[in-house]
Amino acid sequence: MSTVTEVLTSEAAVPRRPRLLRSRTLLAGAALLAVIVALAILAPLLTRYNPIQQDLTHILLNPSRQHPLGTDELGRDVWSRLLYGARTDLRVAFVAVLFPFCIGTFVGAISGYVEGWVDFSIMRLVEVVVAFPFYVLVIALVFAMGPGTRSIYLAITIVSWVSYTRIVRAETLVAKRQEYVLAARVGGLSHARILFRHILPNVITQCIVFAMSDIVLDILAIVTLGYLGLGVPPPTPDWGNMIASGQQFLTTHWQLSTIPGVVVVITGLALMLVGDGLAEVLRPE
Amino acid sequence: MASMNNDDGNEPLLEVRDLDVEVPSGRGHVLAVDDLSFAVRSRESVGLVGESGSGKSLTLRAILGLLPPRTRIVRGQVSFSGTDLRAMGKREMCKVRGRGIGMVFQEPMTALNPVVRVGEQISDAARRSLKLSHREARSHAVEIMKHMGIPDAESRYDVYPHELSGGLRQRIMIAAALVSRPRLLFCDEPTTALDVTIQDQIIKLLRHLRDETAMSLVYVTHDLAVVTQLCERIEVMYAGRILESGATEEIFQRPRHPYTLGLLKSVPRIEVPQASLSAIPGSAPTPSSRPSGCPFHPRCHFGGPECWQGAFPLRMVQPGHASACIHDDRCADEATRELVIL
Repeated sequence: MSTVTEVLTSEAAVPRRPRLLRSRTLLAGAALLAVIVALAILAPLLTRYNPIQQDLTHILLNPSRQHPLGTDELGRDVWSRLLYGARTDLRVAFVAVLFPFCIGTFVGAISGYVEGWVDFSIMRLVEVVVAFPFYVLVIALVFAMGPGTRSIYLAITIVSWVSYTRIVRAETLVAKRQEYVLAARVGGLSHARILFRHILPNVITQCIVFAMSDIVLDILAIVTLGYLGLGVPPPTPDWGNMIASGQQFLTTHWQLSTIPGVVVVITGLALMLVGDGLAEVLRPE
Repeated sequence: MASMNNDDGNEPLLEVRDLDVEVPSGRGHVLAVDDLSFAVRSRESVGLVGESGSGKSLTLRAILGLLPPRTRIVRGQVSFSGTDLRAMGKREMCKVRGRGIGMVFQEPMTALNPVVRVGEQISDAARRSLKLSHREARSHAVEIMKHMGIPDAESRYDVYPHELSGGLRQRIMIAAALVSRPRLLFCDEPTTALDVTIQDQIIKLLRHLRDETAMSLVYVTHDLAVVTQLCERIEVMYAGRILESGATEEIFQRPRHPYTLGLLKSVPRIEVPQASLSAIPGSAPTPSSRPSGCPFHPRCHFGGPECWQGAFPLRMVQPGHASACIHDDRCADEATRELVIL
């Protein structure tokens, strides 16, 4: 072993690759997701058709130079509906994840940190929500509140905050027994400071990773609701109602339902890759 | 707090009296710290020595009011510079922690938050207790880091614990404990997890800090060698009790308790040729299986039936030297015969 000073100086901060670039899974997922988001954002530049403009003289056309993916039963351009549908579905899904993420994390952190009767009551409430199957509750709530994006946000928030609460609570229970929490308390820090500055950063990674698969789940929920006629009201383009309305022409024009279906799968795959990649990268060392 | 500035040399800074701490065991509770009393004066360093499970760390946590769940103080007094800590509200207790008493932990990897930059972990406490702004706290923390012998402190402020070596991490821990300038520092085996060369550096650092800042030190360890380098007084703990208490030199030369004697005889000496090290037979009792009478009697070669029953309180055997053994004279004699003076 060399002398102490050498050891100390040789350890001086070596520039390393940024953590986010160290995972190939994350890079692949992010690239795929970036393409999808870019397509959604650049939609007006990538198509010259209005996605809700009907043209009853050109219905159910096969793919051609004019209409790369053909037209649907109302003569609307499928490619342009797909792009604008991405705008709707991605936006709704991201927003629908944001609320439960914030609420669930906050409630879970409090529950796990405080324990006692607060924790008990919150956990019983969580169990009540969990007792219902996800789709049954979402569909029932949207049905009760009437179709539309606001109902979707509300219904998904009411149903899915529990997952975040459970994750964060469990992780907080573990983290609060760590020695660094004791050290922070010896330092005279307040409970709020310890919980939100010292414990939360340790437990939130699990939530971020889960949020990625939750977005996938929400996209599926939105698509399902759209398929059932409870989603984004027509004529706003949305992958769910594209699949639903294409269904009756499945034998003659299979692409009408299949292409939006495949797009849903690809989007899901991208988000899953991002989630797995983040899990790899954010793991505390 | 007015009484905080009481700096009379004779008045103890920290006084623990008749402390009983219960820990959960099976369905009930058992006493893990049993009738413990000791005091730390201003500028004094006290070593709390004992085997694992003897209740050393628990005592420190009891003093700070940070006991694990279901563990509680059942009896006793803890006063810090004249104020009763047990009667204190949560808010006031937060002020005592950090400003009054700081603590360095055994394992710097688990005692530092893996996802918070090390500098921030130091300045965090300073911001609260010294009421500093973000920027002031940063420069204060960097200053302390430099003082702890951390090279490149400015750039190390922004690294995470896993990027540092064990020795540097322990320096960070010490910096975090000292940033609020506590009057008393608890060290819970801060060198146990480090290799010997680093251990030596950390002890030198602690000694330097003690001399320079006039703070008091309670150093918990099972390593007797460390205690001689750092502490003026020793409290020997066994099975939740203090068995012997006195000045370091005195205890090392003429221990008055067979347990202390056993510990001293089991330290390897480089200057004395030894065929084999002597060890204390048996093992330390767990809190739920403590023997009656003197807690050490099943492992002691002095005692007889007289040690099996009754209470064995600490009593003064010499000025400033207390032992809980009734055979303290025989023990001292054997020590004079057998112990090679350090």
